[in-house]
Amino acid sequence: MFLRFRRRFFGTLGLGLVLSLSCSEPMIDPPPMEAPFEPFLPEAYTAKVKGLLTGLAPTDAELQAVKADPAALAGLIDGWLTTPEAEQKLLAFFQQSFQQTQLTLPSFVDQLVAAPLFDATTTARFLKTVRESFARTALDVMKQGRPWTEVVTTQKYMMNAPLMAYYAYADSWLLRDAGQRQNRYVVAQPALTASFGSTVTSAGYAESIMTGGANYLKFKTPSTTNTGANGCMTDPLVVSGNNTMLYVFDYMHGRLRNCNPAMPIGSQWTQADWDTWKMVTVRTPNGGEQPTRFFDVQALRSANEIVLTTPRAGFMTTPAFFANWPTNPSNQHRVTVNQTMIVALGRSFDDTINNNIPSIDTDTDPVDHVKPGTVCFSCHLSLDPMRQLFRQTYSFYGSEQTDPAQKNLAGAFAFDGVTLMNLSGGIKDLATNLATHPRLPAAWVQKLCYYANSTPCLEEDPEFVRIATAFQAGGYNFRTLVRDVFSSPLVTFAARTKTFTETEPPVTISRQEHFCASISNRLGVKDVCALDAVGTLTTVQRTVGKLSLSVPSASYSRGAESPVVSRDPNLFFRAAVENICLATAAEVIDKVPAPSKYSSANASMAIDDFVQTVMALPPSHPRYAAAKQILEEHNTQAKAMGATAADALKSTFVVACSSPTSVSSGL
Amino acid sequence: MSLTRRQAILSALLGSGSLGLRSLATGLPVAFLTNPLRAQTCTLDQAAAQFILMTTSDSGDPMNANMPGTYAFPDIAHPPAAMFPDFAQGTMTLSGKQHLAAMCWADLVNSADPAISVKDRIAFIHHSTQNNSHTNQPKVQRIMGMLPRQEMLVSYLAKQLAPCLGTVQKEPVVVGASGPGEFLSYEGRSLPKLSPTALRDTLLSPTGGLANLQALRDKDLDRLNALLKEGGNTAQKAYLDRLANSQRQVRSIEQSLLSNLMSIVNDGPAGQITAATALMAMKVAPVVSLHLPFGGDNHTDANLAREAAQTTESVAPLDAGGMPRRTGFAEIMRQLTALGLRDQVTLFAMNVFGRTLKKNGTTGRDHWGTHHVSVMIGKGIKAGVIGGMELKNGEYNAMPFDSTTGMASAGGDITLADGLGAVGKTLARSVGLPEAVLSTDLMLGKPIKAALVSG
Repeated sequence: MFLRFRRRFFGTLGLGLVLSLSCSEPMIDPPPMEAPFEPFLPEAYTAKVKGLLTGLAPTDAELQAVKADPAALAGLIDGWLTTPEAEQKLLAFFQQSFQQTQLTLPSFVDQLVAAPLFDATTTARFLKTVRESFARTALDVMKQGRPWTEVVTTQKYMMNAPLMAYYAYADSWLLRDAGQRQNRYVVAQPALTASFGSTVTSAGYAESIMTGGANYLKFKTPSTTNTGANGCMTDPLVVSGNNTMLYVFDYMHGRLRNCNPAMPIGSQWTQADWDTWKMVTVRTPNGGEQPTRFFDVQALRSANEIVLTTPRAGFMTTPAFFANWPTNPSNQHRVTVNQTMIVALGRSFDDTINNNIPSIDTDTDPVDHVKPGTVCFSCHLSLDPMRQLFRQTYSFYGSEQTDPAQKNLAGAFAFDGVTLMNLSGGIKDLATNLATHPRLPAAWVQKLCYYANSTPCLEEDPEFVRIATAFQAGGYNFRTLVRDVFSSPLVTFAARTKTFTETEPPVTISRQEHFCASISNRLGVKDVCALDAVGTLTTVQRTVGKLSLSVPSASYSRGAESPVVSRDPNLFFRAAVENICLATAAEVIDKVPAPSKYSSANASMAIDDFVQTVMALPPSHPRYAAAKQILEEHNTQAKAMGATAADALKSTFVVACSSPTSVSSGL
Repeated sequence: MSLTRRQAILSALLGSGSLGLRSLATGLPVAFLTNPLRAQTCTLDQAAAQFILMTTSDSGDPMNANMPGTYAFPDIAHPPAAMFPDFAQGTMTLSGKQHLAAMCWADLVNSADPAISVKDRIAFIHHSTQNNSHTNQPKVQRIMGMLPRQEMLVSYLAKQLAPCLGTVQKEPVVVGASGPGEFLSYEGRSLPKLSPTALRDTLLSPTGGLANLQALRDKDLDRLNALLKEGGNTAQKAYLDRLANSQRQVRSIEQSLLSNLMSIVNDGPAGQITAATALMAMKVAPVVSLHLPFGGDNHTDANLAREAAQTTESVAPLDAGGMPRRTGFAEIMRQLTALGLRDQVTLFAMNVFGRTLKKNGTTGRDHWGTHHVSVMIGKGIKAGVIGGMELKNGEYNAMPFDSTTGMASAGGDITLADGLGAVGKTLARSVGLPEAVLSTDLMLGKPIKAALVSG
């Protein structure tokens, strides 16, 4: 088909040349030239799509089905999306897309008075929890078939009990724009203290948190904990003022703050608490109602709602998002609203935007840098009225906004063709207008394009428009959108699209998130790159985890509309995948202690699986037989060179694991 | 001159060696076909070609705040000397002229250690990036789009320098971005960041029984490549060629120099410096980027304490105990000298913007698009302080300056708008690019002769 097209193309071109040489008329723009298009074959795109969605290789039956009828791919995608592997990959995609990653414990300082002092394991559990919470929320929206617009409006979040405690603890801090920092409990009871020691008389945690009880906020610790500086030698250690709740929060996570870190006191949270996710409604207090007590572990375990004075809505108010994009008195939530636009609508403010709305910048500093004609002017003009929607609801530190001047200063939603003035509903107004913004469908098609191709699709491409329109018309069903995008020629390259008329369809490296998932899911080595690991790592996780840092991953950066993705192989990528494959070989071949996935005693069976499962070349793939022969010959020659049977098979595995189809997407 | 249709079509399809047809037929972009040998052939004065080691910050660290020039104005805020002795006023003499600066900068310039000595090769250039937003880091790196195909300055230079330096790859390597905002791009494609510890583990070759089979594996991977190319289309074949090339690049790394990576123990500045110098010693890449901190995005920084701590770490040659500091410019110079690269590498420090000098006193600094100081250290750099500042509307702004004398003056031929281009051209000239090439490729500013040994 391609040859036929090429002949026709060059034939036409030649005729045109002959004709054009015979005339001599004034120049007109030559017509744009289309490069010849070579469609990708089902072998390539079936492996690509299944690999991206699940990390798994296509089965022979699946490949045959698509070869027989390319339309079968859509149905297969529906099935793949129900697998646990697909959920895991979507979870990672959502974490990135909603910008809930790239965090450390100090990232949360602004939301609290001071960062918690957790041990390493609790820190890892906490960071994993905050990263995953909104991704799990989005996954639930997708699985339930609810409109994707909920991701900007929802006040329900997937949480575990420790995260509920974090929300309630952060809410207990009253952090004002002008710098006042007080804890709600201390404001209510200024003489409040908390005691920690082996000599306290509390019978246990439940008694220690019983309001009005004799042992309220008196916590038992092993005597060995009360050692070191910072007054820790005192038993009991009594803290007061703002320190009271800092110490209580750390205590419930297993540490006596600022005291002997080597002597944990036992967390109130169990592994089951961290692993148990549920949908939790966040709401503000009804008249006279008290906010949720963060330290009431038992109550949080059974609750399905938390009461917070600070409202939350959508992805853009999660602890992770605020931690990622902290603001300050100079920035005044500009970064927060800009990143919100990037996530929700795929667009950023830039210094060329001017929505023709009055600036509300009240900065009266002597520099006065927002005058017309200065570099800052356009940005302030368009951004400031929108950032006010955050300012109406939140202080600079994510706490409840109590300054009447900020609450009453009208904001606007003025972005990319939509202008609504005089808004006073704060974060809810922002959420509502994001949900109805005409750019939302295109933004999510584009995110999936980047995910699949490491490059954007043209938004004016009719195929792009078709998918985005169908997404909106179909009630924003995200599962359907995934199916539509991944079965589209925008991803399969099975047919010409406008996107790839002027540029070549990309064949790319398998990025870190994809390569690691492939190794894990194809070989049954759980989280081989330790991307989600908590606690003690296995030997292979320790090695591969470090090496995988040299395999480019997708990331996002401040102000960038597009994710940062690398798609070309380089020497570091090549060296990394080779070493990862070497490390993985020891894990899957003749592993001691057993069981081992592969045995050198049955090399033939192993090699066949290398070709089908690792290299994603099932028997009906035209390169299956030749690839298998190359691997078999490698195994034989390795032994002939003196290698043991185990080393020969491991070397054969490394060839398979670092072969082009194993480390790439689109071959 | 008017073109005929015939001339236009002939020019489009057959001009420059039938590039149009060749592009159509091969699927390769015309840009590549224009000069395929350019990547392999050194077109510069090979003896003048330099590696570039760049430090940059999209946070807009307050690197500009304590430089020579800033101590001439009593109302410019510095970390209090009583708390931070490294920020007491110090003096340095460059090309016979005395300047006032923070003591840590003076200590660096005045260092008597011959391995460090930068006194004869460091230039401080007061200018403006004309940008005030973190998100404009890529724009600044692209000199506001003034280079061909929107290339970043260091990537443009890397492409020219690679064949002259004989590096394994043409692309820069990023070993120390503080975040994705500091990632570099090359020909429009994002370059990944490598962490120094991962780099160490990645490049070290395997040992044991499997190491002996590497050549066999390479051969069979080549066979698999060839097998897949048989049925591949143009895009797939081109990718497979790139993949095969990456494998050849791995094997061409000088193994004897890999031991330099063994001393990397963390991903902080110390690890980044060791990784960067080792990569240049191994001739892996012509440009390496890292991140030396100078205080970060310090809007709120009581007593400018963070600025003081980080600037000291990056600038002062010795620690409080008088021992060599392993984290900054001095350590870079020590390592380059030890590796015999002192005269082959030019250091370049440039951030997205500077920060306010006066406005907030010692409580912190805000973004400031109209003053920044770039630093260059290299064999081709003439020591000195270029340009200066003036108080305007309550804050200090960079001034225009004269490109020949380096003196700040209202009528200087390097205006504020030209400053970024002038810095770019000066760096380019100092690493071997001829003025004739720059005059067509970088359409902003002019080289600062006062900062160039070649004048």
